[in-house]
Amino acid sequence: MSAVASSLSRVGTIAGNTFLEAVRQRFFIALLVLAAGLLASTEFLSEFNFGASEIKFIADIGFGALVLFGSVLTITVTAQLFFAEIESRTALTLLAKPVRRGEFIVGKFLGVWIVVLIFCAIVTALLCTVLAIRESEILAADPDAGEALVSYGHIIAAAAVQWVKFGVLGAITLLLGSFSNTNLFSVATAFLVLVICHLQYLARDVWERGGSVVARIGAALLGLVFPNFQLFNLGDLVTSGEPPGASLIVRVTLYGIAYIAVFLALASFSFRRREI
Amino acid sequence: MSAAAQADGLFPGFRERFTIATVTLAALVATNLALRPLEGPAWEEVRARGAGIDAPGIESAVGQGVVAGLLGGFRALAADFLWMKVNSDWEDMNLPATETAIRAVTAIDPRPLYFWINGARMIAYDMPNWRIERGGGFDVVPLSVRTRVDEEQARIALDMLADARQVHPDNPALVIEVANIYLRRLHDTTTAAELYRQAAELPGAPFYAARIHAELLRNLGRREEAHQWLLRLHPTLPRDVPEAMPEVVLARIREIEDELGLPVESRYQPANQ
Repeated sequence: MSAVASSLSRVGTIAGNTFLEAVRQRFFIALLVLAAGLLASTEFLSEFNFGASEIKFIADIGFGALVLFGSVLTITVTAQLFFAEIESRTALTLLAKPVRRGEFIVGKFLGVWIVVLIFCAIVTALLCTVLAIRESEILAADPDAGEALVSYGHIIAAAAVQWVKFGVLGAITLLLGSFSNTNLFSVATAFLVLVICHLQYLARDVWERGGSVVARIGAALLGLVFPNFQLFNLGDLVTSGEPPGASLIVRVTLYGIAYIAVFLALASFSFRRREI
Repeated sequence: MSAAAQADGLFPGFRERFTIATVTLAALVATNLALRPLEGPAWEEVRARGAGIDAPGIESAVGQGVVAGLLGGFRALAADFLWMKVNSDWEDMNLPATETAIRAVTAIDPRPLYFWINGARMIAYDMPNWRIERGGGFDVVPLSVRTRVDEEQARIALDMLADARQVHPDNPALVIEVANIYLRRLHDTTTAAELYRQAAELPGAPFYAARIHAELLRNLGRREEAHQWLLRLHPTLPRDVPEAMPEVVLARIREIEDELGLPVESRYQPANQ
């Protein structure tokens, strides 16, 4: 067996175990139930809809549930499973074998990313089901409304792009976990980084608009260090009636994958220097 | 002994953590710069289509306590719940709260026209009355003050609609709303007529915009312009759409021809007559 195949096998084993541990957690099920409950309640929430069309409103809630609960799941499960190995000392046993620390990091990441993929797939399937039911009701009541009100392909593409973003978030959490001492610190810092990444574009606005030197230096640092998470919000475009083109989806996906690679490399670099 | 070694003695692991932090920062900056050609055009496209909220919008949202919904989802839901607050403040005739909440709603979710148009109407048509009532009522407040209040509120609404037109550049409903404010609150018929013309020429414009443009030209005494406009308009109107009202347009053409005293041979002859 070549060195690469052997390495992939070890990564696969760690990923598989991480995946099994994650799906067994009640937290995963609880978040899934919450997201599903929110989606199911869109019929009731539609009463509060003033601005957008009902279909757009339901899609917006669906993407909101995906983003909110997906982010919570990614950060919490990544940090929890990483520190569980360290606190229970199983990482020591594992790393005493011919397993590189980089393989451990990548295996953990892949295991969590697959769990998040399942979460995204279930929430997206529920969203598409709710939309399909409502779409058929609207079309039955008003045959002049058109042939199709929802572009399901674009909804799936926008959800897939969110999954890539969760990958970046998971890799960031692993980087934070690689040098921090507690699970709580990693989780809290990862949520802070999540907010910063979502508002990163504002730092660039400050930089472009000008202002005080201190503000511009601070804005430049924030804009240069953190990835732009708003870029992944293609769900907004799907519900705006102007769905994103294939080239945009590809560019955003490549952007996310590049960041995942960099954050995983940095997490491996940092973890190699950590005393366990 | 180097500074890093001295610091390491005081704070165990300092040198290691400093190295990790430096490498991490350098790698992230390099990645960010390397990905700019990929990210820049994509972000321009995404942002131009309404993603991301500007800084004043974030400030408004934080002030209204709905920031949790802004980080990537629930924009419509957050805006809808805030719109209920707008209505509650509107019922209480609370001017600052209503205006702030309207700004927050349109910043959080600028996509629906409903928020822009109804918010502008509250500002331009309702708020002047609140201010006059607070000043003692229509019997007490002098006409000059009432006119100034009308103009101030109209300008605020027009500023808001200008923001709306940046988000929805070719929407005739917004242009008509601006025209109405010029006509009803600022009593500027010339500008209103021009805006109705602009609205009528936009795709998807309601048929009445073109008719009102002609009526405003008539009111301004520009009958020949109104006549020419209606002559161009009438042949384009569909016969099977009730809202197009070609018979009303023809009747107006005849009225203007009477007012202009045109001889029978110079009058408009529709193609189907």
